[in-house]
Amino acid sequence: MSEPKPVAETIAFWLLERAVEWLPLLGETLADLVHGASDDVPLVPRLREILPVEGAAARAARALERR
Amino acid sequence: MSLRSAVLFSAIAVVVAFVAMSILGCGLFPKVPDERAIARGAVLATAEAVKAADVACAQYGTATEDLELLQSCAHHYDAARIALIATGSAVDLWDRAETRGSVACALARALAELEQLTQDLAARGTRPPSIIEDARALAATLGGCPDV
Repeated sequence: MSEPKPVAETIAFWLLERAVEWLPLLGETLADLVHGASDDVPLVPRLREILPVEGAAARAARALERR
Repeated sequence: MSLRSAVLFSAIAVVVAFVAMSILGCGLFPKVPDERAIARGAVLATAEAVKAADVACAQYGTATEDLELLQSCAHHYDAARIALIATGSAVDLWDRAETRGSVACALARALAELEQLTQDLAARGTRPPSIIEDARALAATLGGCPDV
């Protein structure tokens, strides 16, 4: 007959299992925090957001011409 | 303590030490940004500067009903936008060696158009937005382009 597992050992096993499970995610999150998560996000769509086809001056010029 | 428990607690200690070292290491030895990261930052900063200059131009041109200024700003905005999107494409394809050299030159063309925008504003006594200086400083770290 085997002796029952001590509570500390059961908890330790559980902690170790969780740590192994979460370690890759933790590493990824830390890397994102330090080196920036945006490195793989394409730049062109972001640029099109910042700079629309028609800028503010062009819109203003069009409005002024209509007057 | 049994041998099994000792091994288990040692494994947990290693995991805890790894996490602690990762966190401490991040603060003590920050990674030096690579050339691609600097290029991304320079392109985004220049885009924001072009936008700021365009908005400043639109506000001033509308207030003074200066159609010539508005049309000139719109022309330089279009040229800067095209150059920046070309630069962005080159940065997105960074791993292809031939695109790297074109980044600094495409960005230099965008900065030249931004320069024209700020000169149009300065000629009318308007102080260009300070973000433009930030973009210039960041772009300068890429080394510039010999052709522009």
